[in-house]
Amino acid sequence: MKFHYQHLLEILKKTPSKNELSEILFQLGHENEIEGEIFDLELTPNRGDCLSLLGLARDLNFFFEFKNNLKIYDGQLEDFNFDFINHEPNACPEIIFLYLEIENEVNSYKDYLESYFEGLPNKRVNFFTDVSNYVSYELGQPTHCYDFSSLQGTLELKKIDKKKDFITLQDKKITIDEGDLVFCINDEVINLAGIMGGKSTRCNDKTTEILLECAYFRPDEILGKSTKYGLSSDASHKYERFVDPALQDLAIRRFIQIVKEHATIKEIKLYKNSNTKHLERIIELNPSKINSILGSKLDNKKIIQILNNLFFETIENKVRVPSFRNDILTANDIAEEIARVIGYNNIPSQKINLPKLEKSFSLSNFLRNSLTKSGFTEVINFQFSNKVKNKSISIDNPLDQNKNRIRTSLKDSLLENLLFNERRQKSSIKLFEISDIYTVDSNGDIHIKKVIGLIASGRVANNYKDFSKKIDMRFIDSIFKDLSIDVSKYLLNIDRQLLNTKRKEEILFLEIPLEKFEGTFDDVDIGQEDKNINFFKYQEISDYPSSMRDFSFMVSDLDTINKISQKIFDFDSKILKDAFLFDFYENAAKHQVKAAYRFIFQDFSKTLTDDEINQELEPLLSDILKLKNVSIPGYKNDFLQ
Amino acid sequence: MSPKENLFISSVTKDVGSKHPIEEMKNKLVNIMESFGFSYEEGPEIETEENNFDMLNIKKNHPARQMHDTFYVENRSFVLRTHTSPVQIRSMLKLDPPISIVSAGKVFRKDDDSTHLPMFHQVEAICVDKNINFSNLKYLIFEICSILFGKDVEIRFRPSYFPFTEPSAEVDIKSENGKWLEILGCGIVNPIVLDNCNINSNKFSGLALGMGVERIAMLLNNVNDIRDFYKSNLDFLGQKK
Repeated sequence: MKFHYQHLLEILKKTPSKNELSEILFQLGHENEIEGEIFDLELTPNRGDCLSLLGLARDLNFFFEFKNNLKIYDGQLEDFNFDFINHEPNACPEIIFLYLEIENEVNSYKDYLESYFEGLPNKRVNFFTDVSNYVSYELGQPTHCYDFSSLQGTLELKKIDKKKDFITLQDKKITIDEGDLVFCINDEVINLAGIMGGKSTRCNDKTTEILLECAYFRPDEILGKSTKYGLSSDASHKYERFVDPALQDLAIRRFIQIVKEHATIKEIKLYKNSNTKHLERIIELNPSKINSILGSKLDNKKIIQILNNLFFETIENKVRVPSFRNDILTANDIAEEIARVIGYNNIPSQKINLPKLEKSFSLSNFLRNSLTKSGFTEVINFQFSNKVKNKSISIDNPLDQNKNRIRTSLKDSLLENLLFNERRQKSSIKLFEISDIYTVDSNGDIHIKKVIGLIASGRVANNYKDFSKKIDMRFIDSIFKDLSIDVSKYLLNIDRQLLNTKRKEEILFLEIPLEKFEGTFDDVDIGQEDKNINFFKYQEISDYPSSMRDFSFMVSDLDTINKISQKIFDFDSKILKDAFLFDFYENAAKHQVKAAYRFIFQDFSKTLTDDEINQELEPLLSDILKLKNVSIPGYKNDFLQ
Repeated sequence: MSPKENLFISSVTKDVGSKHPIEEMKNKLVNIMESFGFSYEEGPEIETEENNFDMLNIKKNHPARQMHDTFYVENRSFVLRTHTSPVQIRSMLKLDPPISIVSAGKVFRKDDDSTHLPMFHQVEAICVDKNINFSNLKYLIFEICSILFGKDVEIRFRPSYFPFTEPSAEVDIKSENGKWLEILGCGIVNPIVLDNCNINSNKFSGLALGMGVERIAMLLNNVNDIRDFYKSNLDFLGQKK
C-alpha cells in the first residue's frame, strides 16, 4: 500500500518526521520504504484494517494521536425504494446502496482530491470512480459506482449456477465459474462481487446519476478470485484481507461529503440491507498472562493505556475488540498488540536452559565427509522429473510438464550434472548426492527411501599421481573399501551412445539406499564434525569457456619445483582460474626433474583469445625462467622477447 | 617449507571434493541448535494437508493453500511440504513436553524466478515447556545471530504474521552497508497449534523459529544468485576444498 506522507499527517495531531514515522511503522510491524513523499508499505495479511489512512492513523494513535477530523455528511438520508434481492446474506451480510444525482458533470477537483493523483499510482478515471477510489484510500472501504441509467431491472446478488461470460470495466472478457458471487440484472452479470465491476454499467465522464454500492463481503468469498480471473483490484485486495463490517455508513457519508464539495447534489437516497448484528468479541484481560507470554513485567495501567490507544475498550477484566480487528481472538493476540506498541526490541532477553544432548551419529554426514575426502563434490538437485515411471508420484499442478513427476532415482539428475560439467571442459568429474526418493503404491501410500547416488567419469583426479588414470569400476570400489558393502551390485556403466556427447570415457553410476550401510561402520573411524564457523566466501563464476595451457619445466632438483609452484601460487591474475601439477618425472642419474603444469584460464566477460592468454602468461613464465637451472624444453625463445 | 607452500603442494597433489554449501549451512544451523539442547528430527517431504496446513492453524481459505502456491500430488492426496513445520507437528503428536527439536530439509513452493526457487531448504526449531516466553525466544535468537554474524551484530525484531505463532516476529540484521536484512521468522507457538497436538496450552507454551538456509548461505558465503546453488557447476561448487 502506498500513501502520501502529508495525507497521513493531516489526520495526526503530532507531526513526526518521515524517518520517525518510518521507524514507528517498522516497530508496529509495517515494513516500509520511503520514496520522496510517498511511503510504500508491506502489510502483513492479517492487517487489512491498516490498508487506509484511517487504519494507519488508528494504529499510530499511541505515538502520534489520531485526529478524527474528516468531514462527514450528516444530513438526513431518504429511503430509496429499490429492487434488490440478496440471495447470499451469509457471503454479504451488510450492503448499502446510495442513489445520488448531481446537476452538472464535474471537471475540476479540489486540492485534496487532486493530490490523490500526485506521486501515488492512481489514474483519473471519471469523477464518481475517482471519489470512490479516494474514499477507499482514506477509509479502507471499497465502493462501486454504477451508472444508474444503465440499470434496468431487479438487481440480484447471487452465486451463479452455471458458467457465465462477463466483460469487466477494464474491457477484459472472462468466464465466471459456477458458484462464484456476482451481481446480476436479468440474469446478466454486471459485477464480479467484491472484485471488479462490468463494462455495461460503468460510469463515464458524462455520468451525473449513480448507484453506489457499499458492502461488507466475507473474506472467504473473495479470496483467490482475483488471481483466478487475472483481475487485480484494490477492492479485492481489501476484501480478501477483511474490511470493517461497521464501516459502510461512514464511507457512504464521506462519499456524499466529497461529492457535495465538488457539485450540487439534486437527490440522494439510501437503501440498506443488513442481515446480521455484529457479534462483539470480548476477550478476558489478564495482565499476568500477557506478561507470562512476553516475559515482561508491565503493570496493568500500562497495558490498559496501550489497549485503549489501539481503540480496544477495557471494562474491568475484559477487553472489547474493535470491529475492524478480526485478527484479535486470544490472549496471545492481545499480548502481541502490547508488544508491538512497547516495541519487540524493548522486551528483555532471558536465558533459556535446556539439557545438553549427545550428538547422535549421522550416516549422511559420515558419507559426505568420506566422499569429499575422496575427491567427490556434492550436488543438490530438484526433486522434479518428467519421467513417468512405475510408482512415480504425479504432481497435479507442476511448474511445467517437464517437471510433472517426483523422481524415483537420482540417476537422471546426476547424469545431467555430469554432462553439464563435461560441456564446461571438466576432465575429472566426480559427483554425489544424498536425498530422499519417493514412490507411491497401488493403495496410494507413499514410500520414502534415503539414498546416496554417485556418478563419475574422466580422469581420476587433476594431480600428477592420478592425472593419467581413468575412472573405472576399480576406482569406485576403492572408495568404499573401508565399508563392508559390495558396491559392484549397485554399479552401472552408463552407455554413452544414448547421450548427446562426443566424450568416450566410461560413466559410472551407483545408487545405494542408506539402510544398506547400517552395521558397516564397526571398524571405521567416523571422524569429527566440522565445527568451523568461518564461512567460505564464494567467487562469482563465468559462463564463458575456459582455455588451458600445458608447460613442462625441466629443473635440477625437487626443491625448485616447490619454488615454481610458489611463483604460480603467488601470481596475481584475474583470468588464471586454476593450475596444477599433472605430471612428474625424476631422472636421478642425470639430476633432472621434469614437472608438467596445466594452467586454466577463464574470463568473466568474453572467450579468451590465444594472444590474451599468452600475454597473461608471459610475466609468470619469465619470472619462473629466472630461477636457477629452470628451462622449458621446446619452448619458443621468441615468445618472451 | 612455509605453511603456504604446504597448502599449495597439497593442493596440486591431493584431490579433495566439496560439500554442497547448502548442506554445509544446513548442518551448521542444526549443530548450533543441537548445542543449545535441541534434538534433530526428520520428516517426509511429501505431507498431508492436515500436517502441512490444518494442524498449523492455516485455514482452508489461506492463500498459501492455493494451487498456484503449493504443489499438490496424486490428485490432491498430499502436498509437497511448504515448510518443515509439519516435522514439529509430528514430534508434538509423538512426544510429551518438554519438547525441544530442530528439523531441517527441503521445502517446496510453486515459484520460479530470479530470486525464488521451487525447492529450497529450511531449518526450524521448536521448544515446548512450562513458562516458555518471548524473552526466551529473544535470548535464543541473539545467541544464534551472534554465532552466525558475530557478537557485535545489530539485530532488529519486527512484528509479523504467521498463523502458527502469536506473537510473531521477523528478525533483521544490519549489514555492513547499513541496510537491514531479514534473516529469520519466529514467535510464540499459537496455543491453537498446541491444542491441535493434544498439548494443554493452559499449562504449556512454546517458542518456534525458522530459517531459510539459502538466504543465510547467500549472506555468509557471499553468493549473489540463489540459482548458483543448484546449477551443479563444478567451477562454483569446487571452489571450497
